[in-house]
Amino acid sequence: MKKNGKSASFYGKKLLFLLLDPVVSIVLALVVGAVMIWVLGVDVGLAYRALWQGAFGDMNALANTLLYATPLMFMAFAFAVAYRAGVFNLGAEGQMYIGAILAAWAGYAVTGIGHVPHILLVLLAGAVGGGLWGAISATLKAKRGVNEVITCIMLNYIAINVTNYLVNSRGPLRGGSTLPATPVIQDTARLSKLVAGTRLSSGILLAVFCAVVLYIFMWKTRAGYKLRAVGMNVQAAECGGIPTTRYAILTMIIAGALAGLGGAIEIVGVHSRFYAEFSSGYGFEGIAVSMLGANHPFGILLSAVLFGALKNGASAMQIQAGANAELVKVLQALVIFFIACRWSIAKLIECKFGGAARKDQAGKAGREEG
Amino acid sequence: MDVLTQLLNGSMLAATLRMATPLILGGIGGVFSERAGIMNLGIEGEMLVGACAAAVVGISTGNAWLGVLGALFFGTLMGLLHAFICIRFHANQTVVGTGINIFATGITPWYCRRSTTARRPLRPRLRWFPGRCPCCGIFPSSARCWGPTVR
Repeated sequence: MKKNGKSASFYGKKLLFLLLDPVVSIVLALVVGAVMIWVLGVDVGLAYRALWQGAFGDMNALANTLLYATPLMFMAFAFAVAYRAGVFNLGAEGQMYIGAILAAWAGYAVTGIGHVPHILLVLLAGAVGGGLWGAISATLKAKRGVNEVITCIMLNYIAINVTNYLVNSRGPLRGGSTLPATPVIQDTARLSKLVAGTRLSSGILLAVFCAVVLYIFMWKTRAGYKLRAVGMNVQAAECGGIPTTRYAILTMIIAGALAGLGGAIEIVGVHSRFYAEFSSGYGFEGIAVSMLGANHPFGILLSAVLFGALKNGASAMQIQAGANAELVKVLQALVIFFIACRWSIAKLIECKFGGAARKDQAGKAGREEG
Repeated sequence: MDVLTQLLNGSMLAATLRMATPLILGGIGGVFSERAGIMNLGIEGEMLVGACAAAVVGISTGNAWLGVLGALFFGTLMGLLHAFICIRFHANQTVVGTGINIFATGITPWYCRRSTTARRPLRPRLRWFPGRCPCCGIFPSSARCWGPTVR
């Protein structure tokens, strides 16, 4: 019993230290952001209050924040899984586009099945599309040794332009309207709204569900363990008998499937059809979200909400305080910089106190000897 | 053959060169860092900040060459920021590169906003470049090539 209590406090301390770095980074970014707002000649307090109100002020604002956070969560999962396995997945954007268009197609072309099977079919289509797209760069890396960063970036362009072609005038998936978009999906394929009167769909619940599944997969299964082993040290994993190339491919398929799922949920939950270039760079923001969340599913959930809040509060800040909305991009970038710096506050504290204690001991020892 | 002749006329070539210029310069920057073993994903952001600096310096001095100098300076500054974070604090190059890109998309509108709300607004002045290219005087229709520095 006593031992149990001890371990609980230990974990509590660990969690506190884990949260310390992101919080300090965010505070530092906000301070730098405040200076920039002040330079513009805008009331800093008013701007940040507007940012907060716009992001969490009422039910509608909160719903929109979570709405923005949902695709970011999936993109961040797609990056984090690959990162844990030592693969840099910069192709989440392309994987999302392919997943989204396949989901939209399955959403409007398939008729006459029930609500639940249709949703499952649409999500499966998105995951398969994204997974296959991710498998391309993984296979190229495994079989030919092509750098996955390059192929992922190239495949992003290919995916965006192929989907553009498919829904532009004379494209095979073009809907009847004047928009460059597919037809509207069937009612049976739509995700229900989580809160009546807002745009928030139940996609956010799927994201949380995915986070739990991902955590169990990465930390509680044998495959997840091998995957992380490959990420930590390829040679050691190879010596340990893990087929590293097969795991690299598997990783990219999982990552692509997650990104494709994110695209599918964006289609069936928000837009109800596939628009050409519907994403505002979710793939790249996902990288930042993932790093901020320490590449851990639960950390990602929190950091995605933060990024969603910044994105959502930006327009309120512009309208009410007159500071331009792009300023939140600077805030996002600063958070990334501070997080990436790894000037871990926890470590700094430990070093300071630990170092002082050691010095004290050394001094005492020296005096005793003298 | 007909399509080929349509494609290979002067304006098409000019447009190709015009659109290739940023790619060539960005590509050289990429090669430069790639050869040194650095994955530089921040080229987009460095280019954006350079473009903003060129516009601001070019407008305020009325000289395009000073604008180019400003672009060089601020592009270098962004590269320095990237390097500083990566080397001093052992950060991941790819992540910081993406951060640089996001930073640039935020900082450039902020700067433009600042320069419009500043007490003494920057007034654009129209200056024409010398009609001939200074390095190769033989370049035809160089006025069209260089154009007015600020429209």
